[in-house]
This record gives sequence, C-alpha cells and structure tokens, in this order.
Amino acid sequence: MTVNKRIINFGKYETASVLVNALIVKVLLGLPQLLCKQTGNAAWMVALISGLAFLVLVLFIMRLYKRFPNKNIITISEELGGSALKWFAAVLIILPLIFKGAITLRLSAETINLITPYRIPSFLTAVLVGIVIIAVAYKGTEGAVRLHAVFVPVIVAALILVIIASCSSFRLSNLFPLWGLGEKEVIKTSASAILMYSDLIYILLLYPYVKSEKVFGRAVGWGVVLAVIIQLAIVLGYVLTTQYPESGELFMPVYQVSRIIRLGDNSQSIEAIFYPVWISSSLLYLTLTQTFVVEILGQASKTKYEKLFIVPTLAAMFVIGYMPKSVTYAMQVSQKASPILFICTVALPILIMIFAYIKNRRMPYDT
Amino acid sequence: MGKWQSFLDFHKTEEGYILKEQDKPYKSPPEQNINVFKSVNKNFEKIKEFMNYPQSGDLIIRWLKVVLPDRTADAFIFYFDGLSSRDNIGHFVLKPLMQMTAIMPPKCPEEEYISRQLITQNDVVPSKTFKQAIELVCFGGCGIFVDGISVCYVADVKGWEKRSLQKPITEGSVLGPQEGFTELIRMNTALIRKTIKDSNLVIENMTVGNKSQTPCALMYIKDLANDSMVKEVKKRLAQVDADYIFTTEELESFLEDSNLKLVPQILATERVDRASMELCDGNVVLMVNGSPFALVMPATFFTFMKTPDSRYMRMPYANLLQLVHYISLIISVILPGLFIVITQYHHEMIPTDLLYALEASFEITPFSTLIELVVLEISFELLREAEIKIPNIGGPSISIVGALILGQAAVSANIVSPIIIIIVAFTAVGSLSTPNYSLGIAFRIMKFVYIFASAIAGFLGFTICLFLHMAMLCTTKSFGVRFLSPIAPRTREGFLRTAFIGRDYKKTSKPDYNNSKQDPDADIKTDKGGDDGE
Repeated sequence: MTVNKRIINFGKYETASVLVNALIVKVLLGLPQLLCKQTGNAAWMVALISGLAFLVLVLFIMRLYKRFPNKNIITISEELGGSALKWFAAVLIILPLIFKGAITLRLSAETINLITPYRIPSFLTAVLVGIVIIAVAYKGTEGAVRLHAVFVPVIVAALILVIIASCSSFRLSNLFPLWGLGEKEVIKTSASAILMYSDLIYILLLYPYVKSEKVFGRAVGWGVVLAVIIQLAIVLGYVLTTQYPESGELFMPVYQVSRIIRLGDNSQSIEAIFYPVWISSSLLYLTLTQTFVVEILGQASKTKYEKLFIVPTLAAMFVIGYMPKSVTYAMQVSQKASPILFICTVALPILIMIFAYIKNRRMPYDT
Repeated sequence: MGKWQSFLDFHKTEEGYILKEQDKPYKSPPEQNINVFKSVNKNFEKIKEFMNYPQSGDLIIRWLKVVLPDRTADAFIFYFDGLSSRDNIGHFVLKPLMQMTAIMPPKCPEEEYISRQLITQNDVVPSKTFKQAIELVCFGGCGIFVDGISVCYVADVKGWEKRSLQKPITEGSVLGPQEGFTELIRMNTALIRKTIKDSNLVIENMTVGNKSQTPCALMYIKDLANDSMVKEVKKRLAQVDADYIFTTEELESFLEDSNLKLVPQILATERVDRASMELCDGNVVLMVNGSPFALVMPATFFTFMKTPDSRYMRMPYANLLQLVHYISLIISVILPGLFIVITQYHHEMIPTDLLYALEASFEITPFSTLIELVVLEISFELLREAEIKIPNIGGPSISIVGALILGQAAVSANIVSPIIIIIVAFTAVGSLSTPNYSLGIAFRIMKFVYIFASAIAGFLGFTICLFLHMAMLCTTKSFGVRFLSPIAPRTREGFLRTAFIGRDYKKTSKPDYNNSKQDPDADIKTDKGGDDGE
C-alpha cells in the first residue's frame, strides 16, 4: 500500500513521538532493573552501548529503506515474493506484535495493581485497558498516532522532571566500580539488550504514513536519538539513586525514583501524580500495537472490514498475556523470547529488504 | 389491505428499498412553480389558494384601479400585516399606482411601465412565477398584480419590529467594539461589510429549509478563503434536508462533521468583530436570518479558546488571559475527579495537617465524597440553568437559594463537607470562565465522566477517561481540519503561536490549518494531517 492511496499522513513530530514511546515503555516497565541485575552499577553503560548499537542498526535500515519509498514491509514482501511471502511477512510480524502486546498488557496491569492502592483484581485492570484499546483501535491508526503527539511530550517532560527532582538523592559513589559486575557481563548484557529493540518494527510499518522520505528520515533520527538519551538518563538516574544490589530487586524503577522526590511540607509524597504518565505510556504502546496488528491483517487480507479483527486479536493478547502463572514468569518468558522476536521483527524483515534490494538493483533509483 | 399499505409504498431499486413519491420529504409545492396569469381574477384565486386566504388573518389584500395609457385595469396588492411597512406601501406603492398613472405618460412597454416609472420603492422584483412572488412577500415584500400583465411586481417594503444593536450577551469583553449581531440578516451583513471594507468580501444569499426558505448569507473573503472550503460549505448547505430551519444553532447540527461528538465543530459568535476577524483569517462565516449568531467554519480547539480581548490587549496581558482560559477549562473538567482520586485513593499526597482536617470534615457527613460531589454539582447545574432562564426576575432569589440553602445550610446541617463546596465552587468558576459556551457544556458533561471514572478506579480510571477524551478530540474534525491542530497534527504554525499571542500577532500571516490562499503551501496541501512544515 503506497502513501498516495492513504488519506492520512503523519509528520515528523508524530512519527518521532511514536518511536520515542515504543522505545521507552520498556524502560518504564522494568528494563533498568533487569540491566542492574545483570551488570550491577554498569547498567548505564549497557544502556549507552546498546543505544549506540541500536542507532547504527537504525541507520542501516534507513539506508536500505531509501530504496523502497512509500512502502511498508508487507508491500515490499508482496513485490518480492507475491502473496505467499506477503502472508509470511504478515504472520512474522503479527505474532511477535501480539506476543509483545500480551506481555505488556499483563505487565501493565500487574504494575498498576502493584503501585496503586486499589483493590481491583489485575485481570479487571487489564479488561479496563482492553476497553481503551478497542476504543482507540476502532478510531484507526490516525487516532493512535495523534494520541502519541499529545501524550508523549507530557511523558517525556514527566521523566525529565523525575530525574531533575531526584538530583538531590544522586550518589556518585553508586557508579563505582565502573564496570559493575565485570566487563564480560557488560558486553554480554549489551549484546542481549540490543535484542530487546524489536520495537524497531514500527519504523518498518510507519513509513507509508509519513508524508515524505525526508520527513521520515528526520523523524526516525529525532525519535531514536531522543529515546536513547531518555533511556540512558533514566538508567543513569536509577543507578545514581539506588545502590546495587537493591537496584536489581526493585519493581518499576522509574516509580521507585519518583518515590524519593520530596516537596517539603507541601506534600507527603508525590509519586502518585506520575501514575497517569506511566499508565498513559503503556496505553499508548498497547493501542499502537493493536492498531498495527489490525492494520497488517487488513492489508494482508486486502479487506475493507479490518476493524473486525480488533476483538479477536485483543482476545489473543489476553489469552497469551495471562498464560504465565505470574508476572515474574511472564517477564522471564519475554526475556527468553526476545531473540526470536528480534529475528522475526528485525532480522527477517531486513533480510527481505536486502533480497528486494538485490532484485530491484538494476531498476532506476526512484521507481 | 389499508393497514399494510404503508409497506407496499416501498419499492425496491438497485439501491435498496426506498419510499414512493408521496412519502418523500416535503418539498415546496410544485403548483407554486406555475407562471403568473394575465387575468387578475385568476391570479387572485391562486393567491387565495396558495396563501390560505381568508384563514390567514394577517394577509392583507387590497383591490385598486390602475390607469394605464390605453385602459383602466383592475389590480390588487397583497402583503402581510406587521411584516411590511404600511407607510412604505402607502407612499411608494399605492400612491404612485393610484395617483401618478394619470400624469405620467408611458415611455416604455406596459409590462415595464409599472416597475420602471410608477413604483418609487427602491427594490422591485418582477416575478414571473407565484413561487418567487410568494417567497418574497413572506419576507416582507408587497406583491402587485395588474390585470392584463403576467408579472407579479414585488416591492421590498420590509417593516417588521426588530431589536436594535446591543452588546453581546454571551461574549462580553472589556476592550474593543461592543457591537453584537441582531436577528436581522441584512443588518448583520451590513455590520460585517462596515467592519471589513474589502471589496473581495463576498456575501452570497441562500435559503435553507424546504418550507421555511429561511434566508442565510455565506460570507468569505475571496482572495483569502480556500475555494474547496467554500465549496464544501455550499455543498453541505445544499444537502440540508429539513422543512423548517430558523436559527444558526439548528443549522449547525446539519453542517457539522459529526453531531454525535461532544465538542462543537463550528464556532458560533454574536460579536461582529469576532466574525470579521475570522473572515480575515480566511475562514467562512454563515448567518441565518432570525439568529444573532454567526457560524464560523472551520474551528479548532484553539479557535474556541481565543477571545477578541486577546487581540485588543497588550501581549503580556493577552497571554495571561489566555493562560487563565486554559487553566479554567482544565479546572472545570478535572478538578472534581482529581479531588476524588486524591482524597479516596492517594492520601499520601496530602500534607498531614490538611489530611486530618479533611478526614474530620468527612467524618461528620453521612454520605460518601462521590455522592456529595455529584449532588452538589447537579445542584449547581440546576442553579445555572435557572439563572439563564429567568436572569432578571429570578436571579437574586436564585443567588440567595444557592448561597444560603445549598451552601451554608447544607454545611451547617452536616449534609456536605465544606471542602466539597470549595471544590464545586472552583469548578463552577472555572466553567464560567471558559471562553466559549458550547465548549464549556461539552467539558461540563465530561466532568461527570471523570468523577465516576475516578471514583471507580482512582488514577487508573482517571487516566483511562483522559485517554479516551483525548482520543475523541484527536479524531474530531471540523470541515476536514483536525480539532487539535496544531498539536495533533502539529503544523508549521506551532502550538505556542496558536495557543498564545505572539509578538507578531499583527502580521499578515493567516492560521495554516485552514489553508488560506495566502498560505504558500495551500495549493500543495491536500490533507491537514501531519503538516509540520517540512
């Protein structure tokens, strides 16, 4: 599907917002804790190395993508291998997206229940989230992406505020020993951390919506750089405020950092004011994932009634999300599945693009 | 058979089942389209039939004799009493027809003699059909039939009672002009014309309502307004299928992109300066006879949030005012919900001393915070409605009832806690300070949704509500323009320049969401989405 067939298109700001949220949601839900657990005080270094490696990967993909203006990965697959490859690519992307959505849904519901004093069962929280997903998915990609433009600046501002407000609790001694649990661990964890960037798939899906190649390039550049900086700042802030081994144990690191903030006698503690921010970030990610799942299914099956896929795919997310017995187990499953997800959502699409590139090599550049 | 006849009235076509001719929406009776006869008696019979004479008590028909060059002809005039000016009819219609014919030798054919030489009223329309003549008479004209001439002359002698120019009621301002529109369309268009003084200002006359044929005026500045926008407004006006339309408020629901959405998508203003400013920004304005409000299209969230004051004040004051507007809107929507979340679920956010005070005040009241808040909010809505309905007679009584009974007495009787009164009062002040009445209502409805969502699930419910509210706003469009432009989508103009008043507010540049002709990208922009100036 090419961009000129679409009624809507997004600009730099919206595209960058989508990428920022897709990349920082996992940081909000627990990545810093995981990195601290594996590398100790050098978690920030892992965030830096994996972030830089991620930037290189994005540059490579963008360079490849220049060859396929206004096309998303499904269209490229169809042109390369016909309907069979189109469906293969669609399934390859949809299944990981549903899995990631399911895990995020479970994590979000459990996290919300853990950090808030409500007596609502986790599943009911997930049902409420599910209602939001259905409502926004019904509005289509446009609604989901425009919401990012409204909420992401607020989320980023809240994150910056948390880090700035917790400055007084920073302890530089927390950074030492510099290599944490050892250089080997840092390199090993950095390599595995790159595998967690399967959200790169959104770059491959957003392209047809963006008004021009130039805007897309800038949006991806801004979005990814900003996301990497925020991720680094959060991990660094977490490491500076929380000592190892405690830093590897605490749930939802950003929330833990926000608990340190004090406003004198004006408030006992203000971490609750950030709840809407964390909840919004998860909601944005989930609605976008669901919207793209529906969008890909619609595109692959070439149906006008793609909205019919909303409820079944959401039901699949619920089933998968609530299969693991506990949220810890869900996180472990997610971590173990990350290489497969990376292969499905990043490596194989890149491979498809390389093959398509070779096939079209002799064609003029702008066709 | 008769009982089932209505089912048989449907007949199947390729497009599905449709109604037969007799059940289609009422259109103007086809018989009225017939031409005027030469015989004055036949014309009289038709006028009696079409205008329900003598049942219509205000229809005046007066017979007279007109002396023509070669004959004396029977004639009659007809008009609605109260709608036309008796003085004008006497001076400019009857007097020339009855007295001047003897002394004015004809210099043109008989058909033109009456309109060109005799009737001295400045606007005379020679109508060939009954339909046109009747429409003009229904709008204050005086019809003249003369035997032997197959034309009905309609002189414009409007003379109904009208309200004089007054200050705008719902859009008061400290600075700037204080002229508000009236119910008379021509006076309103004249006010606009007087303000803009641009020869490119186009005022197109139209009618809406199949039966009411209510006159309306579509206004735009030709070298500013986007052609496709003007075309779209005309298209939607042509598609309006209603028998009677009397006001802009009624018409608004026909023109909106979706009238199921809570927020208004067309700005209604009663200020002449506001309507003029919007025209100068390249927007399209529509006025309906009988309504003192002008409709401005397209309108975004920020159009609703701005007031004319912000143009007349110095930049710092204007921006402070704008900030107050945004704060008032936010307070009016989320304050009660936020109060419930914090007091019911997140006590840790409240300073200890205040928490003790709050708990003490809640302790003595028998109801939950939710019930207290909802009851008081509903009470305030009732008071506000009562104040609008009878502002002069009942106003003071309502104030006393509101202040003493609902406020002081309820607290003294330990029915509600004082803090709830404070929250409701803050919310009410916020709501009343919202610059646009329609937008204020939309957000008042949302306030209750926030209250219930917050009571059910604390910050989770609050956030879900906020998320869905924003999703609704993000997907709302006004004539194709996104309601939250320039936030979502972000446009070249940028959020700050639109939401606040910049140093360059007197520049000639126009808002970019409406793709006015002065916008350099207007021709290449086919969609308002995602334009961030790249």
